[in-house]
Amino acid sequence: MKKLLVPIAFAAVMTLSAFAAVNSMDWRIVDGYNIAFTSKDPSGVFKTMHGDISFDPNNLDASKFNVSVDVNSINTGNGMRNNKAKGEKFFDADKYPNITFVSTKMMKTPSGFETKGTLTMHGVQKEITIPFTFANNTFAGSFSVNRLDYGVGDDKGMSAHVSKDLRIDISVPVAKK
Amino acid sequence: MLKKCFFLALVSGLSAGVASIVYASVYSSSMGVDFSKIVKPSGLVGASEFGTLLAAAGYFLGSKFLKANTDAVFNILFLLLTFASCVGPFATNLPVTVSNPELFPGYVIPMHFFPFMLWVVMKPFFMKPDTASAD
Repeated sequence: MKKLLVPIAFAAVMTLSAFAAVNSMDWRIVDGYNIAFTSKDPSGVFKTMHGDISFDPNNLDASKFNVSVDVNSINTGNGMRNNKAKGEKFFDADKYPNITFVSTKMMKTPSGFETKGTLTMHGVQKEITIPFTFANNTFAGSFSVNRLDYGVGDDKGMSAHVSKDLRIDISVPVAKK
Repeated sequence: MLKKCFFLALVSGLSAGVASIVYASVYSSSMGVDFSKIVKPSGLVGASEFGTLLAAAGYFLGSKFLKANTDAVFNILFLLLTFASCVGPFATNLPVTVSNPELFPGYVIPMHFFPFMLWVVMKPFFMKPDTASAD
């Protein structure tokens, strides 16, 4: 009986430690995050996001981002412009309430990391690559999107004055789950 | 005349500033918004004073040419300019850290009317009704 107990205990310890390792990769988004977009006109922020983040710098194959931004939380600093952005001509927040990013691959780069994945905005899916860093339990990254690629607004009339390329700056503090 | 205009502007401007502060306080507490970092109480009084002093200068200059019609023309002009000034709050871009910017016009537009209203209310205390126009 004693001979049996030792391998069982060993297997139990190994199994539990494996779970512990997986758990240490899971992060929850904490307050203080910032999703800002900048262009000549307009600039602003999205104030609400949520999602699942699994990230281990030493095990990028097992890392994954699945995050979502609430379109209705857009704030450009101007109420009329917010309503216009949420309206049918641009994000159409009633029909497409979220902007999502689901990663498919993570890579290490000289300056940090890079994630490839699918950005879904306004019902349009595009593969994009986002460079990012991870330091002090905070993810930070910047990339650009062309709103016309996602059918957000058009290039006619007054919409032509809205910048096509927007720089997105993301800073997301996290805590271990 | 200039002295009366000046004191009318001073008192109506100050009254409009106080009315704006009271309105701002009621609006903020009932709507649950805080624009106090954008528009400070001192700014409300200052802007009201600036508006009425500008109006006083206009009234004084207008009275030189319009004589008995001064009040009628001045009041219409003052009201039209007040309406025109309401475009400003709609076009204002607040810092993105400020929540609910769509409630900002409702916060400041009524304040734009206070200088005109207080000017009309206070004027009889500083200037006698125009007897020429009453005839």
